Amino acid sequence: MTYRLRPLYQLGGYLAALCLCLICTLITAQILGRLVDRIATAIGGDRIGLAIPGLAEISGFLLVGASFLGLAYTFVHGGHIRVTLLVGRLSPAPRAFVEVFCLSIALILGLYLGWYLYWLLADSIAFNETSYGLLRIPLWIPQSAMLLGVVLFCLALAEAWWATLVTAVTRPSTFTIDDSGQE
Amino acid sequence: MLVMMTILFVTLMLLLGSGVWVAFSLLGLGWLGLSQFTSVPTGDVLASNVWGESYSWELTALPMFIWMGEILFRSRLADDMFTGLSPWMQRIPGRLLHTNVIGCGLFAAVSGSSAATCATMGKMTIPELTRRGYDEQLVIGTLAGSATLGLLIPPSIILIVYGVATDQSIARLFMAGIFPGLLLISLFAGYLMLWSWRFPDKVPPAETGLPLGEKLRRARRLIPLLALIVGVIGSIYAGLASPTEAAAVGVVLSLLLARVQGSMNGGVFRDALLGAVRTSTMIAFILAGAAFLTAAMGFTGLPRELAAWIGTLGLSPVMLLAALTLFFILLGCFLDGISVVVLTTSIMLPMVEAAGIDLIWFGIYLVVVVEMSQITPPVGFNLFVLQGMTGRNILSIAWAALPFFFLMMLGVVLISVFPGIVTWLPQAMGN
Repeated sequence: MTYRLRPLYQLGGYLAALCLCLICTLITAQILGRLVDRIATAIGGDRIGLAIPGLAEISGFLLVGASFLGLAYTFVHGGHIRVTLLVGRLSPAPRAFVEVFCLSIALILGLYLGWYLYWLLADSIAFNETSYGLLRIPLWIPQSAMLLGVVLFCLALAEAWWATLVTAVTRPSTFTIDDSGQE
Repeated sequence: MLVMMTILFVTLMLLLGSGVWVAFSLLGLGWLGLSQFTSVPTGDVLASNVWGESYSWELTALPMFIWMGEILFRSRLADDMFTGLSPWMQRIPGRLLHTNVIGCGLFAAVSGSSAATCATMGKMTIPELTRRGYDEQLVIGTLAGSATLGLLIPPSIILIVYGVATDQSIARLFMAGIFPGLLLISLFAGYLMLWSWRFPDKVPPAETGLPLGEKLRRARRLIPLLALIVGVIGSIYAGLASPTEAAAVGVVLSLLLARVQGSMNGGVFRDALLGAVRTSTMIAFILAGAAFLTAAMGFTGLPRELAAWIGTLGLSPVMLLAALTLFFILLGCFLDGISVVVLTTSIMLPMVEAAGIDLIWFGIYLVVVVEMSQITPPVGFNLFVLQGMTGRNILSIAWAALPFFFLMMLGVVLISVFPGIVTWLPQAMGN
């Protein structure tokens, strides 16, 4: 399957990867800081207090970015698991229609999720909601990343849906799909 | 209630069976339950649960451990392990077949996935062992069985999923997995010894023994791995670091290890990181779907009803567990482990709690049963991995792995009869 917006999904994947790198760096920095502190107190010095305030919050929110921005990227790489045990045995034409059914369900649910995530985000902005920890991070920041990820995912699903539908209607016998790595 | 249950069950089968992605099947099922059988505002529950489940400090351990596994998979660790371990296995009945069991056990202690364990060890041991004349059937069977230890021995991706879905301490779950893991290793090793005692002609003769100095010199190559295990699991057990912190340290240490070995460069780093993104977004999305499904099922009251119904049957815990085990094995034939776990926690947890089963113990039990499902056809990830590596038919691989399926069954019986195997270490850690 060729996706016109593949670079966009790829970008989402890279951003998710960046989030993972940031999480890892921040946590490691925190632990190094704690070690330095322990050594400092052990040799009789004062605590330097090299701590990252609100690390749990920040990494939790970065995790949202990592989980959602990569959804479309994972989808175009066939990374989301599904059971293809039964449908994998179908011949191309019926399989194309089943695939349209699956993509329709996924797209509808994706749009539904996106729509309500949008209202969640709108509420967070309207009521200036922030996280409960030290940093009081405005919730709209991670929630926007989440919404963006779901929107990208819906775009990818829509592209796949349209392409599959066209194949299913015009030349179903030529439909091919790669089920490798699936169940 | 029966009508609702039937409709939901049929819908779930229809969605999963027609190939709808697991996460979307969970979302769809939750939507159906909530919008058709309650008056709760479905969309709002959906948004707030998906959001609420997605940011969490505990869950951050998941992508970190996945990333660590991806790095180690691409390093020369398996090679080092084989070289370090094999000279010591020559005298044990079953000889080098034990490198599969011990190697998988060790690799499982730094990796959270059984497919990764299987692929990492297999690419080393399958060619090495078959070249030396070991029975290929047994090599594959041992590998398929032992690799499932990746799920049980901490760090474990599936225990993180279970812990997040049921609000149990991940550190405790990790500790609870250690002794059952060792139990399974001993069962597997014991079976290999018995087998080679029964069929001595099927095991190639020992190679000329190396002098002790050479053995020790080779064993030095195990040091980085052992250091990694002690650094990651040790720091959780000692209470120095939370699982999330230990995971991040594990990533940094694995990067250093791969760097020192010379197997790390820009391309490998990128591949490992993007591989981690793909696996962790896939699991995170399933968890988000499962969070919504759990909330939806809570509103419909189905899990409570189910628990009450099971209560009226007056089953003893043993009979309940026997029934559950059968059910999970059946489910595991068609679903992957993570889906089995999230479906269980969304629908069956009140029932398990009502039966007075400890949730930490149940987590470990569930993981062992899921391990069994990794090697049952037609769906079993380890079978797929081995099929890809050996080009053999999936049924013949499953046949080779069958003895290990029964050994795990024995493991389930043992942890049910002696629950202390699971609960002792987390309790000791608490004090």
